Amino acid sequence: MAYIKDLLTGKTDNKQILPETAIKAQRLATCMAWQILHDYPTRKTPKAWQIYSNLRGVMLADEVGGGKTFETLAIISKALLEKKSTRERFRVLIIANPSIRLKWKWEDKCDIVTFINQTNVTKTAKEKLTYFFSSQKIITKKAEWKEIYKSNQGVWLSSFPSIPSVKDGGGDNAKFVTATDFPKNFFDWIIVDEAHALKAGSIDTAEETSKLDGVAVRKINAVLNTNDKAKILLLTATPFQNNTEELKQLLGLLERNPKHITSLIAKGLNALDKQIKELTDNPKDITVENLKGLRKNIDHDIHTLIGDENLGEQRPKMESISNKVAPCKNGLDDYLRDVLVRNTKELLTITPVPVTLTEQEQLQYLLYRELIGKKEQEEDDPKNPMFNTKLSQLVSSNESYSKNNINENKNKTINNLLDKNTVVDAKYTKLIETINEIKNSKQKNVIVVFVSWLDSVTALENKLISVFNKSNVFTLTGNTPTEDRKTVLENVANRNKKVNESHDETKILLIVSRVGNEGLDFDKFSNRVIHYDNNFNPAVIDQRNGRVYRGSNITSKNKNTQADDIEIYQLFIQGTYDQRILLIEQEKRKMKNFYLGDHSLQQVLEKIFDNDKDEQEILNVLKTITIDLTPSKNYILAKYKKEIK
Amino acid sequence: MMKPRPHDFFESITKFENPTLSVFLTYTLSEDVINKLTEVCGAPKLILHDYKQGVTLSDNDGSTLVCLPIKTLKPNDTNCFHSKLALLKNNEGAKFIVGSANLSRDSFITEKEIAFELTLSFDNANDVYVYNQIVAYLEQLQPQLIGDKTIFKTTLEQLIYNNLKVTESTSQFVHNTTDASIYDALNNYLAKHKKGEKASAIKIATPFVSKEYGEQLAKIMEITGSSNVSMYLRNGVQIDEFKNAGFKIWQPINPKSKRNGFHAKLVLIEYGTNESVLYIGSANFTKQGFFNTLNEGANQECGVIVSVPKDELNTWFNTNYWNELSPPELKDYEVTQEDTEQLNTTTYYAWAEKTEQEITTTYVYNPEPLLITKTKNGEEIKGKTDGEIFSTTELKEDSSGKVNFYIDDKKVEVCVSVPTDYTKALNEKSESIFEGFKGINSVNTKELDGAINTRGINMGTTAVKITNYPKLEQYFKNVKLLTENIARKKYFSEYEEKRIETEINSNNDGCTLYLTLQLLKILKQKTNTTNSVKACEKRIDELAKHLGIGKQQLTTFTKRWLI
Repeated sequence: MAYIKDLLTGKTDNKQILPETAIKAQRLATCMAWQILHDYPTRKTPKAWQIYSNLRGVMLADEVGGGKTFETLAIISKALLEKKSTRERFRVLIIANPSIRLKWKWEDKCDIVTFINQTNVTKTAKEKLTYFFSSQKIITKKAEWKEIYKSNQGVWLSSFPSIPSVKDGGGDNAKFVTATDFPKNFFDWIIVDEAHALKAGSIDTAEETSKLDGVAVRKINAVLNTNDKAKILLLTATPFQNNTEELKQLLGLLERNPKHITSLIAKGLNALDKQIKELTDNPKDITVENLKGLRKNIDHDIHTLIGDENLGEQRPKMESISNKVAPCKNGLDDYLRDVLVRNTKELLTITPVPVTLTEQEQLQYLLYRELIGKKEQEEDDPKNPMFNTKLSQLVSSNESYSKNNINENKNKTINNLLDKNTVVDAKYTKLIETINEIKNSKQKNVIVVFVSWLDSVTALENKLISVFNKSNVFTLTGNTPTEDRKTVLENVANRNKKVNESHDETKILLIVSRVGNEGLDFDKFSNRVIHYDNNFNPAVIDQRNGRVYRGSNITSKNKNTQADDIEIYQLFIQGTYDQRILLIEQEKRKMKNFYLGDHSLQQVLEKIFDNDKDEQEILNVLKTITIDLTPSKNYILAKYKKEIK
Repeated sequence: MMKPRPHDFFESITKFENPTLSVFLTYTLSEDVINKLTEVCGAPKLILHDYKQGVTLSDNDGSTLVCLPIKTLKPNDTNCFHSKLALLKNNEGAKFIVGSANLSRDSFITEKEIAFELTLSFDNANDVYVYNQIVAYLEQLQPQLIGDKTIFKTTLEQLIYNNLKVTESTSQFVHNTTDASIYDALNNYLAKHKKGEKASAIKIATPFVSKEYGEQLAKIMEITGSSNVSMYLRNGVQIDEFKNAGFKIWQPINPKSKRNGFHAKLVLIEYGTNESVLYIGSANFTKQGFFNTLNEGANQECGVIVSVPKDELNTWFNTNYWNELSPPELKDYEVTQEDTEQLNTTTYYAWAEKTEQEITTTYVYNPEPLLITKTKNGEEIKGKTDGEIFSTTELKEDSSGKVNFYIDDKKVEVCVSVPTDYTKALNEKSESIFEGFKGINSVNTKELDGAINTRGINMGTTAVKITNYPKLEQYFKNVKLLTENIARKKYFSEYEEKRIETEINSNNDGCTLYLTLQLLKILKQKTNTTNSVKACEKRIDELAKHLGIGKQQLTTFTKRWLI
């Protein structure tokens, strides 16, 4: 059992390298990544694994805060500690935006320090890790590459704009403009943080001005081409945010012979394109518009690619894609599930709260709707990116909606017909109703209300103050100065304390705009969330939930119930665009959960680590779980079975 | 402007682009011609024929080909429904062909026929005048139909346009009535358009003649002010009265027809150097065709009276075809022909229709009468007999939509006409504005809401995929599509006006008020929509009241919204 246990407990040579708290959550992801990148190539190729014969990397796809950094550190640390001597080369390149590079930068209280401190390894090993990470070199200019000190072991931290220019074209044969610009055959591991940003634009160009576009992918290829034995880890919480072409490029990076996988994907995608064309040629089919719209989202491409409506049931078999590769039960689908590595977090139950409109309100919605979209096609029209925004604002508040280049006179005309904005009023009313129905628990009296639009925050604040009193309503928005945000949260905590002391059922409301989606902890005073506005991206909803789904709300986690009594509500106006947003988010979530949240093996592993179970019992569990495991997971299972025999 | 064109009838039909429906009136018909029509005309075809002259259709092209028998308004033993007309309509206008030809084999193979063709645009008020005359004639035929009238009614609804601009035209579609003959129509036309003018010559072509004309021949000279009359007749017909009146007699030199002649019917009145007046139609220059009213036992006839350039028909009266009888020829003339058209009226045929109540009625024209049985030599089928027409609801159609039975031990296979199929084809062809309109219930809200509600957000990987937009979003799109259809459409038939009214009255809710407002907005921007605009305005008031919207608020709103 040594192999499995070592990996799963994070022990190497009986020295634990993962912090205890991280082990449970992260062991599977780490195990999988390690297996694919380090362990597998050194062992005899099992048949089911031939599909991975050219694999040189994986994508770590945990949610933000899910442990990608720690997983990466664990993998690097384990690989480093396996090196018997400091003369054995082990060079790691971390590519990260300057803005997110902080977490990789060696300084007091940084993630790496925490990781090393919490890791249960010998003092010598800790010193080795400390030396390795602390002596990191930061490269911020292209020219610096020519003068780097070529130590055998070390970490180099850089960003895309600071990697030398590459020649146009070339794909996976990409080369630097001048070969001597970048050290040849130098790096053994390449880590790309926020890899989804490899898509066009959106990159911090503070260091060296350069457009990213496809250039970033070519740059990575060029770096990899300097050493074809190098391994790569792509870190992204949202691998499905990219379009088909971009995902193809990302997956191509993971393959030593990317043509193999890109042809696999291309074949699948061609089939998809054909299917979409067939459907779009028949305009009477109601699903066509949807498909066309969904086509833009990679998750739906993949969704369709692997079998359209019944995800998981009609997946193409590998044989149908290529007969040259070893059988892989569920084809490309399994491949994706294996190379997109993620640990699984218990899914929260979210309660949808429908807002039903009266006849008057329905009329008003349709009239407002008139001011936004004249043509059916507009939803898919790239020239009209504001379309979705306008519609999202329409179901949020009149304040946010009417600011958006809407014909003001017509808007007033509609308002006057029914004297008020009844559509949004219905949502307000439902919100207040929902707040009143929620029961506080565990001395956490704060309900966090997430709102997408700043103007809606103000509108909502006024409404809520009139019902729940000014002292119980707090807001945290982009308008709150950064230095004041801490104060706001302290005020909320103090108010919560006061309410607890008075033992009453007072509700405290914290209205939070987009600014509060990331980086803030509300778990100390709240375990109740209401999503007032919806979002197409499940990651946004998860991020928001993550504000309470953390810390004190998880430590007391009981396996059989929802994580420590967290309650999440999602408001939506029935029949309107609000419902559409919610449905699309659900679709994406299904996708994400399928590729990134394969519970089956995790469940086995949970049982293995449950001390109450004896080995016979574990074996029985294993016998029942033999289907629907990807090759990679089957491999782990087979090994375990063999070892406990 | 108008020209009698020498080309083929079928070619003329083919040349009319995107026909949405077609109506044919004929005395006789044969299967060959119907098959040919199906080839050249893509629109649904409704054929009205004299009830004694039908054929049994064993294939009706998915109910897009419907033959309905019709009795003349005042039937007696000798008269018939004799009108011959083809009316094709599309979204921009119509074409009609009126003349002497029946939809029978003879008309297209052996007879010399003449027809007048006119293309009408809904944009032209003169054309609309003629179009409306034709449609009014068709409308008036409705009570004379035998059997279910649903298909004819639907056709009329799609033919009637209530809001087009009309100005009286010099071209007239004419037909005889209970108290006016084709002659009367011609007389009225001349009195109005050629008042005080004397004709220089009159040319009359008729394949059949009356036994006795009496004073009628003098009448023709009286209304035209000319005694220079030439008769163009079949060989061997009775000519004494014409001779006595001093008319010239012309006959074919080399008659090809098995019936020794031609079949065209026309009256051409020439005025010196001016335009001539021409009647072309179904009426023979006989008492039963031309001079009598329906009350006097005439055939039911129609035609056109138009002004044509003087030389327009020169080719037709070409001397290579016609020979004027010389005095010796007149002296030795021998009558060899019967005086009137005598056609077989004893052949049985059958047709079948499905009523709105889904009841299949089979009709048999059974003049002899013969025994009608379910199986060969089998049990007699029970039914009603009304003169020569037998009808029964005993027969059920088979899987291919046909009823089978036996007449006098001979198997008969009849294809049943289904009004809903016919209407559907009409709507598809005419790109009806409501074609494809899905209304408020086009979304399965249960499925959508269910996707959200049943398992919360943690749906499994095989749960419902997004197939629909939420209800209001989809309705918004449905209405958008409908208003776009309306925007594209120039003219609105009575059928569409009725559909609009039905739709805005189907529900009493906010969505319907929205629909009605949108319809009003688009219809107001168009001409020819007065009726629908009124219906929408009325409905908006009702719905607003229902939703508790104040009158003042509504007025202010609609005023601004409709800009």
